[in-house]
Amino acid sequence: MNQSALREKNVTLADLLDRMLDKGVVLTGDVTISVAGVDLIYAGLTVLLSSVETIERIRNEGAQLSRMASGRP
Amino acid sequence: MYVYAIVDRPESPISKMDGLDDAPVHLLGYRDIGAVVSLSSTAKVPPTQVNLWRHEAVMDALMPDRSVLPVRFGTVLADEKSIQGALGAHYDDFVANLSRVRGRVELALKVLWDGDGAGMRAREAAESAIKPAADASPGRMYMAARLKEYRERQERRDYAEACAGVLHSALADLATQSRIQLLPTRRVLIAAAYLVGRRKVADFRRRMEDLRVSHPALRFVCTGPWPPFSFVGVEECRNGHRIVKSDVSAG
Repeated sequence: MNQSALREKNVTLADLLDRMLDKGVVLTGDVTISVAGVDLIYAGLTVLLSSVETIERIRNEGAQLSRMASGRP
Repeated sequence: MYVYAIVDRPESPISKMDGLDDAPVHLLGYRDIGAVVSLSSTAKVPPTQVNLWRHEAVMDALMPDRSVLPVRFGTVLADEKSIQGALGAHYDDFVANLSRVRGRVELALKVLWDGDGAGMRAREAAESAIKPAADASPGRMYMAARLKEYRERQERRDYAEACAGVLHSALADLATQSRIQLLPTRRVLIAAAYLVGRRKVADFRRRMEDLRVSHPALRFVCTGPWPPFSFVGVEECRNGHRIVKSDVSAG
């Protein structure tokens, strides 16, 4: 896989994580809170925190790859 | 039971597919809506890449035939009865949301902050802040450093706002709704989501290409189509185009 394709894949993965873990309809038993942004997360705080770290890591890797791809330091 | 999405047209059967842990996916109807589910052996589904993509694949397979409200990853309800209960309790909300997203998809756009274009401008502006003499007192050095930081941040914010304006005029007419977040992280100038009719997706991509050509200093990354994750809240119904300012660089 070339760097551009890899970068694209990483950004897509970051967008996927961002959406799956932080957005969408939230159903908790008989309570539904449909939010984007405010947050009570059903999957649990640990998951949320690890997803944020993952997103940040992927973004950083993406930025590094883009610098490498464009030949900048 | 693991829940993937809330959908319309429950009378029309969904295609045969496997969900998480290869469990068969099926549709539980409630009046004229339904929940797409599969049996789960656990209440806590780990957010692995495989599981996340599987959840996404199920929604993707549903989208061509019906409206889909994506459910957040990891949602497990006890049984069929509790799912029917949730559908019944929020029936009106679900129907309104399904109708609003019908025939539309979400496109995500990020404008990245890099060292060559916008970032350089911000640094230059900051450098032009008052420079203390080499033998200045520690207090004066400290104040100068703070001033430099402040100016850089201000410049970055101004640039993000200007960019949001450019995006709005270039893309807003193709979307029924948009969410633009300014400076969500240090490297990302703008993270935006657009709710776009399927037939306008190609136009949207063409406009993106035009933006790339006319703004070579910025990096635009577009992903999707996604299910309408960013547009399924109660609040989302009320607003057309919205800008969220969450300046993490201010910390």
